[in-house]
Amino acid sequence: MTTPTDGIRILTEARPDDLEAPDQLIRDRIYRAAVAAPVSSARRSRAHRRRFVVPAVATSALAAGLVVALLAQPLRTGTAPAHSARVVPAESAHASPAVPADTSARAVLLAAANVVEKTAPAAVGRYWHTSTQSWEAATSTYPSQTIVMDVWVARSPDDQSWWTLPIRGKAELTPAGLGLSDPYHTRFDVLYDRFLTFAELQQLPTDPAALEAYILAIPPHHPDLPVVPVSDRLFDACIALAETPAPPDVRAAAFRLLAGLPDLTALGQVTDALGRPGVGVSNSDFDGEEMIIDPSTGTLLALENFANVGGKMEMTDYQATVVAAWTDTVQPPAPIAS
Amino acid sequence: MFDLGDDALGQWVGTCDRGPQAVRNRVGATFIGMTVSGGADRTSSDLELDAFDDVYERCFPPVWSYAVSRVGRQAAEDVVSETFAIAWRRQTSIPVDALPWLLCIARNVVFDSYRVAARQRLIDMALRTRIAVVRANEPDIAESIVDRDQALTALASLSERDRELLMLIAWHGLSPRRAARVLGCSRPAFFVRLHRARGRLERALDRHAAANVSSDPLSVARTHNKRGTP
Repeated sequence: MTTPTDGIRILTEARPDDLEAPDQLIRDRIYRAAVAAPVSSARRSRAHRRRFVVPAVATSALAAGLVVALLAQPLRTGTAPAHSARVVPAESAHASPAVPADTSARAVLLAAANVVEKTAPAAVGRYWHTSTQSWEAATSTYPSQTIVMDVWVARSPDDQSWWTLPIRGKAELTPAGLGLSDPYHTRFDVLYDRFLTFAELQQLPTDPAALEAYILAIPPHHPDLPVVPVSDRLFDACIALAETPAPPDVRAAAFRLLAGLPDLTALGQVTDALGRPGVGVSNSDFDGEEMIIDPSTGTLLALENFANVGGKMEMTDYQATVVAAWTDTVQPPAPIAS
Repeated sequence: MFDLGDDALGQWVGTCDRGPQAVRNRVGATFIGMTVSGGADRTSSDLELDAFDDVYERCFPPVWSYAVSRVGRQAAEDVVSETFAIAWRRQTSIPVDALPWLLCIARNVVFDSYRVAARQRLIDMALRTRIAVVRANEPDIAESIVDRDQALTALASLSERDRELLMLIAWHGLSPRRAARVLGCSRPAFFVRLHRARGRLERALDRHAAANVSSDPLSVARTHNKRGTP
């Protein structure tokens, strides 16, 4: 074989016909069975979101990996202790001078947009280097784990991009995009799987309404799937944009677009899973994703996912950005403490 | 409240976050510039039924195809029924982007309902059926059919974890971000698993392509392959 096998493409083309939905009779039968079930009486007792649950989870997450402590220290001087309670109730957030008096989600995001907009564009290098630390709770199929991953996306699409693959306590440098259809880590996967090159990022709209129109014009990436709700598409696209080297005015537009979304919940002043202070915004009062922004730079510190586990809101995973900067060299990462 | 004809559905899903679901989600929480408290009167059963109907209409096909891919068509109805029954009971928790949440429930239903051996048997049966269907319905001369046959055979040779991951991307069309939500892992962890699963799939494909001698665990497929090999 001269060309590499592209397993994902071959598998996609082999999608069996029997995955198609059955006839209306079966659909109706399943529907009737579902709605016949009594609705849980506990449904009105809303799971209390994060502020009571998270500190314990975050602490156990921290205990789970030495990496966390090792990484958290050099990041920033004067951070809160890593074991501090993660969330300060939004009501008392105004007491901190670092946070604007108006702590609504809209105000937080508009403030971030203003900060980002004034940032000078970074001098570009050969690679956009990101280093993220992620953690996830144990599930029925996988144990809990902490992963540190570095990705070097080449500025030129003709250049080789790299990423690190954690293998048995070591991080192995791996060329990205080996399959023909594999754009992961060779492009910036912003805007719901619209993979863009650095040059294309520079062409994105800088007006929030135009950016919204651009995002919503992207077709669903599989014809058999329902369209993702508008606010979720926009939320995902905007947080993805915040992680890219898009021009400051594009990233500012993303924050302004986010600020206009419904259903955002301000979480007030929080510390992320690595103990770094920031302000939190969630896209749902229930299961959902929350973003933690550094208000002084308008950068995204972390994304944290929560799910209702037995009536309590618990963190299921987080992804914290440790480095996001241009560089000219790909460096084999240091061994991971495990 | 909403008459969802087929034509209306396409338009409706694009704005569903402004529908009754979103109204209900807003109750009792603080959102941009406003606080809504109480709200028991808003969660009338009519409103709940509308919101649930909307989720059901939008998400039934992908939940069904996920269930079929995990346990085969015969057992799919039980899994999908249980999934939507759970969703109905927990309807006040349905997120706006309901699909990853529903697939996560379906996934747990599969784990709770079938032991490993039973799941393996169901999947093997389903894959056998598919390979047989591919061979019966399509002339064996076309190269793409060989690909399809080999892809299913290679898939069958992988672990359940690898298969699930690959199917979420290749057959169910989820983005890594949403697929990670289904599995309850972070996006970086998802990329690591996807990379490894894809590597094993491609090695299996290369093996089958090079030798055209099956090393898959399905005896039926092996018989077919041997018959087709000079």
